[in-house]
Amino acid sequence: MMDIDRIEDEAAQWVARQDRSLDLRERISFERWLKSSTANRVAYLRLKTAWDGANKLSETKLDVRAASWRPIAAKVGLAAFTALAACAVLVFSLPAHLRDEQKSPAVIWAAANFASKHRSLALSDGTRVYLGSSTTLRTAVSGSTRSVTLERGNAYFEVKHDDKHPFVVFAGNRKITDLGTKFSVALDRSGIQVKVREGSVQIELLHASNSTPVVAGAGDVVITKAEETLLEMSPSSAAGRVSFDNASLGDVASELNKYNRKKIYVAETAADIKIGGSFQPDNMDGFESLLRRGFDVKVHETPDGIYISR
Amino acid sequence: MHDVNESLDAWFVREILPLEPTLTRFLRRNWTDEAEVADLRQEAYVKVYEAAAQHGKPGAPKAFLFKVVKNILVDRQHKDKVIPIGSLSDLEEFASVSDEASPEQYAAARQEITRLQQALDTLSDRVREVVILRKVYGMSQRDVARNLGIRENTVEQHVAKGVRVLAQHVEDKRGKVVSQSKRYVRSHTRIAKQGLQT
Repeated sequence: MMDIDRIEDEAAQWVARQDRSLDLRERISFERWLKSSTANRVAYLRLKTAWDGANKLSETKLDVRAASWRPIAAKVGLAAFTALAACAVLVFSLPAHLRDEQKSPAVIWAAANFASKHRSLALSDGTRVYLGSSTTLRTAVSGSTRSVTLERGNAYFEVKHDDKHPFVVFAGNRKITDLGTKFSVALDRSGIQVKVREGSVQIELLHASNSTPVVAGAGDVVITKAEETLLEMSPSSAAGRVSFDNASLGDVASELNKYNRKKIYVAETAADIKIGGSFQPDNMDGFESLLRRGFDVKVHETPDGIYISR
Repeated sequence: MHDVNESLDAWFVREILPLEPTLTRFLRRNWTDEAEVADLRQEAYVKVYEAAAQHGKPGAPKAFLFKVVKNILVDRQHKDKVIPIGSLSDLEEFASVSDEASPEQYAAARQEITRLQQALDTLSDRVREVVILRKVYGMSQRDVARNLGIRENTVEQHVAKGVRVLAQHVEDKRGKVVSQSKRYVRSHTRIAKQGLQT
């Protein structure tokens, strides 16, 4: 009688190794093990077939979570917490039956001393998140909703596309809706900064019925301060324009100064003036005429800069 | 030589392995020692594979498999001095009757996914997490390790555990997984449970 347990154990080991791909030495070892007895081969075929058969599960992405599963996120006990302190990623989760998808967030992720910037987390919908240092992110991702709150710090998202269930990030007083993207959100006391790597996001001001949402595409950076939105488009993006809405002149000037050798200097008296408009960032003439036309400011141009005052 | 094996492997996976649920149910009903079922099944597989290798693939794989199984059981009965209540002819009758869905029907998409999910339910938390991240989200073992904060080798071990459970779950439609217990009692006279059952 064959030692079925041992053979199946070995076969399972080989399936698991194959699962992460074999190096040359392992491949030779595997072939030898396969050839050494039919029992080995047959056991391997059986387990490999079962493992490959499980690929059908990829069709169930959201179904899997709708069933009464225990949470996907790891439960970390106190002892484990101390052990993890070095890289300090803590994951807390509520048991499935206590979770109320609509109201209470299911999972809180916090990275205190972020050891490696390559460290990413997988949300249960397949979206990948990279946390910055001193970051707290609260996630509530389930079959029907995908919403995340950035409470502190910054995070970069690679969102798993799902038309029917938009991925939403709440940060400060803004709601960022993913429109099929890779983007980052950083939050500090003054406002948020959203940088879009791929795809686009929509950024709207919460509790403000008459504000217009901003759509940012690949290469765009959006900075907000309170109710202001300063949308910066990277010079390399197709549109190549900078636009802003209800932004303070001082902020607009600092953004533009990133693109131009000739700097804009704004006097304190004029710094808080709110302006809106859009033009190409290196088009200083355009900026100047915009200011002269629409705003109560004095513009004085010299070879080394543009001086704006009231 | 490599090619011959490859086409044999493919044939084996296509024609023989889908018969496992039928085969296992048959073995369970006709052999009292639960723990030996896996052994017997393995022995049948080996014999079928080797016969196909040496004498060519059988035209009717299911009939061939059951013929092989029947012979194995007979041999074992003699060796173990088990007194079966039924007779050999009962075995023959049963083997030719197909009383459940064919492999194609059984593999109908929805049933298959349900079966897989039931199998996952039986896994420990950590092994299930690994299997889900691998299979549902297609994450590499390396990424799974990073995401769960465990070593890559540990992920590999969890996959090995998951694989065995997934394979075991093939045989039981009722959702019960048989654990591979090493405990069994071998005695000279074993009374068969209610004879040979269909």
